[in-house]
Order: sequence, then C-alpha cells, then structure tokens
Amino acid sequence: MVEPKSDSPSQVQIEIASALQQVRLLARALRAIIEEHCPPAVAADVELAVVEWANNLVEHGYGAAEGRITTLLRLEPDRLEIEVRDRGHPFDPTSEAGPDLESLDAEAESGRGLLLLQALMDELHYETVAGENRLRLVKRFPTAAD
Amino acid sequence: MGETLNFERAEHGGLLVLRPRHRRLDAVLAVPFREGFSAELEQAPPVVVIDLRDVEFIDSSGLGALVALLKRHARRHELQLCHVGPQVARLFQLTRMDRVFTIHPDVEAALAAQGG
Repeated sequence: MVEPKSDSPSQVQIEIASALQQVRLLARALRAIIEEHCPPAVAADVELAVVEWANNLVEHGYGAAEGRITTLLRLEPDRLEIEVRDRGHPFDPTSEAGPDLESLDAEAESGRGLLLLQALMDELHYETVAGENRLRLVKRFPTAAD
Repeated sequence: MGETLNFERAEHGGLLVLRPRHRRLDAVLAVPFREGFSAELEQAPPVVVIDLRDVEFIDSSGLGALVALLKRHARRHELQLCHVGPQVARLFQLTRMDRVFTIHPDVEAALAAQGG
C-alpha cells in the first residue's frame, strides 16, 4: 500500500478504495509515518484533517460509486504537504463561506468536518485537472516563536 | 459499512458509566455508537458518564454522534465525559465542545461532583 518514491525518500504515496474502513487504514499509515518526523501534535492534526477530507470524499465525492483516493505525503524541513486526489464529484472546501467553528450551533450534529479541516491546516489549495480533484493541505511545523 | 459496538457498562454510586472499547470513534463507528448508547440511556439513571480512556481518536462524525446522544436524552439525562486524551481534548477545544460537555478527569471526579 505504501510506495516510497525512489527519487525522493521524503515522499510517500498511499492509495485506498473509497470506503470508510479504508480511510482508517490511511489514517493509521499516515500517522505512523508522520510521527517519525514531526511532533505528535502535528501528526494528530494532520491525521484528523485527512480523515475529515477522505470521509467527505467517500460519503459525498464518490457516494455509492466506487473510486480510488490517492494521498501523496511530502515532508519538507519546515512543513508537511499532503495532496489528496480523487475522481468523484468536485467540491472545493476552500470556497465554503459557512459559519466558523465558533459560531456553529453547539448542538449541530454535522457540519464540523470541513470547518475542522480549515482550522487544522495552515493552507488548503484545491484544483480539478482533467477530471482529477486535488486538495493540497499544508501544515507548517511550530517554531520557537510560536 | 459500520462495525459492532463493544463497550463496558458499570454503575458507580448512582452513576452509569459506559466505556466504549474502541480506539477510534470515527465515521465507521458513529452510527453503531450512537444507537447502542442511546438504547443504554433509555433505562439509565440521570447522570451518565462516558469513559473515553480507550478512545484515542474522534472525528467530526464521532463528535456528531456524541452531540446527538446529548440532545436526544437531554430531558432525562445529563451526559458527561471522563478520561479525555490529548488528541480528543484538542478536538473538543477546536469545536468548543469543551463548553457543551461536562468533562471530568476520571470516574471518581464525576462521582465527587455528584456529591457521591
């Protein structure tokens, strides 16, 4: 499942089928890899963000349809970048202008996933290229100044 | 698509303590968790504590299930939490759920808060 790219030891690709159980596997694999290189708090935030996005792809992007979700993880000295690719219905999470987590109804049972994604990551970039949707998530490592 | 809910049930001095035996309360487990615990709450004493000591990870689906339980049983039960780990605490803080749920360090603290 995990294929380190020979030309760059700091890049890893993981591909899963569009299923919630598979998202669990993705989460655990990513967590284990990220924890090797990053503070636990960074690994935890990235795990949750990727799970929220991948669950969203399974439940809405692909829905009942079969599909693949490909995750590319790239470790840089000062940050971690993850690109999640799918071929389901496009949905740009950066275009959401809904309530923020603070103003969301405390008793709402859903609607927190994409807000969490935005809160957990430093940058989100979304594009659709030739039918393939790509969400790039960037998490910068905390510095002494933080 | 879901999985089977496993949990322990214990009564301590008038409190019902429910302990899900899962590491992840996520989209896979959310519905079985919500429905299983909801059934337990039907016959429960007024204060129910969910012991999260085994739960390392909760996502927004799991959180939604907790909120659904809280709302569904609000008239007759107070739902409290204990043994919230660091990753789950971070989720609660980000979503302001730390203001919605009463969170105790452990079952003893929950009992003490009841004057038990």
